[in-house]
Amino acid sequence: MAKKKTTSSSEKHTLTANDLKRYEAGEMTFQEMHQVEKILLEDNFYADAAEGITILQQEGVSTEKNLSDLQARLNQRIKQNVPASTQTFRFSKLWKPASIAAALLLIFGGTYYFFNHKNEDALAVINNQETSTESTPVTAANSSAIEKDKTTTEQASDKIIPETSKSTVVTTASKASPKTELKNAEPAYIPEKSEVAVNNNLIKTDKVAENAVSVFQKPVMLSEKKAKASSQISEEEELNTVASNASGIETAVVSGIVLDENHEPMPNVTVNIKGQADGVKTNEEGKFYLKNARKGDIAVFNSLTLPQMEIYLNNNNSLGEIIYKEDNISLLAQPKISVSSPNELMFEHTNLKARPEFGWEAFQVYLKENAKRPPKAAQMNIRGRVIVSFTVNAKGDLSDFIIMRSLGYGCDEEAIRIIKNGPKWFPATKADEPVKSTQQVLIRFQ
Amino acid sequence: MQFFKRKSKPQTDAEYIAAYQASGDLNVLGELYSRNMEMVFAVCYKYLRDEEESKDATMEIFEQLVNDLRKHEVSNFKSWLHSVARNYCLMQLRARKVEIGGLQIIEEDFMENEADLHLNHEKLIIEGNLEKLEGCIKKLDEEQKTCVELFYLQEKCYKEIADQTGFDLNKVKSYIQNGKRNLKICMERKN
Repeated sequence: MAKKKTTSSSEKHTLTANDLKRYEAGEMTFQEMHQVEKILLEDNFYADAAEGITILQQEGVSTEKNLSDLQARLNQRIKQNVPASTQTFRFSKLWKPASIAAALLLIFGGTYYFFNHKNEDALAVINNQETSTESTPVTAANSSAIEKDKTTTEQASDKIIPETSKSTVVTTASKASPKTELKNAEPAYIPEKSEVAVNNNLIKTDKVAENAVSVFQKPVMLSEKKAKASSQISEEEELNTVASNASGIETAVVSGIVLDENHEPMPNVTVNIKGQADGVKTNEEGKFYLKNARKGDIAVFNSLTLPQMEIYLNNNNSLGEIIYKEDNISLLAQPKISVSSPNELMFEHTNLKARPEFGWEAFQVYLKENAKRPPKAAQMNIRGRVIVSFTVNAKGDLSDFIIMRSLGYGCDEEAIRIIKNGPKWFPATKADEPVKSTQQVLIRFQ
Repeated sequence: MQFFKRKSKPQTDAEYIAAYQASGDLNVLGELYSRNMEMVFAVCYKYLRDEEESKDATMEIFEQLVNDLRKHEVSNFKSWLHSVARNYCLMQLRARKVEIGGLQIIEEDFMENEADLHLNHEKLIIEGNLEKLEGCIKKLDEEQKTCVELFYLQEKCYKEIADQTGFDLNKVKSYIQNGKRNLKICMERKN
């Protein structure tokens, strides 16, 4: 009691955690206790801390261990920061919005200029061609690099290939005006096509060229609608797989009715597109509408009682009646590869996929409850989704976490942490044998 | 920077903050923080009731200091730190949307922090107006009056007061807390 440890701090209206611990343990004199109490009344920080210390002691939590742990983490954090991050951080903080704005401006301005310029070029070249077919060889007025001559076509097409943007203009022009000079156009067109297949960058320029086509056909100012229309035209015109890969594929709403083995509608079956975790549920009548479905996507069906079922999506927008029962899933478990009849439903081979311990529903609830925004994200009011891909090995262990869709601000790490700390996983099975598989999970931070 | 450190090692919180603001040296901030770390941890534990989470929170709060202390002028570090820590924990709890130990999270909790920053100021006013204070004490409830007098005027501790009056220790505590609040209201009205 009479341990007169001169708590000089208490006179200055400050306390240490040690003071509070001694107070809690009753190791203080009445006078000291009064001092502590007085400070606690004045200062909410100490009052809160004192409450915390009381609880910590009641629950028998070792503060020493936690504190040394914290100190180690703090030291590590400080060390880590020493080289550069103070300055870079400041930079990014201040300049991020500005740089983003500048970049956007540049992109928009650039594309606008680019398209405008291209259209002019294309028209110019086309005009050129039309005139040049009748008259004798004339040099191009606008683009000096493009030489239009019947006799030198082959040389020209050789030259064209390395010059990506300009070559596309030429090919479009020739393609778009087949009346004028077909013979002239073809040789130039074919080598360019093969180039497209090899070089990804060229696909973009190809698209630009397609835009030019539409502009030529109906000389209107370029707008977003216009761009869409032109890509549709291009799909009709040429069934080129490379081009269709690059241009936006239409998404559609797919609907269907899920029935059980007795042909009774199944409500509350989760339906989602593989790789996109935001799914829908079937209603009372077993009906569902899946948005943003694309040709070639796989629809995944999950219910509480049955193993997961997968269905390939084809062109048709209605899947009709889907019988979801155990036999069906195993029955369908033979891969069909032929796509000969496009109107028929395609069922994919479904061996059991990896799944969380208490089922997907429970896992979704777990994610929802535990996906808390890290402070940095909360501070910046960041909301969104993180998609994490990871491997579930035959034992059900998780590894190889990859962020497929990042949100930043610590959310990515948090997403991985949540999955790691979450329910166990059952491995995927192939012919009843557990196998390694990759799984994707979407986590929403709100 | 090294030179600076050797020349005069910061002593008070304010000096630490000034040194950090001048240099951006995390070592300085780390030193300041580690002095208060146990308190912060305890505060976090009070709200979060989970060791690991509280530790994470303690580190996250440090991250906030790293940024915020550069930007803000902080006159009272401790109460500022408290409001940062508390708000962080409340945000966590709100995200959890779980009531812990009957702790209801309401908007007021966040607002209240503003008042904390002016706390020292108010204390001065009370001390400067002893006559008014005495008048106000007389207006208090009997229990509150006894406890407040014993505590503030005779400088007794809770335990002594409890022994002397026969009130329960927790009762004593709340009499004093409420009495103090009533006094403050009374003083403000008179001003």
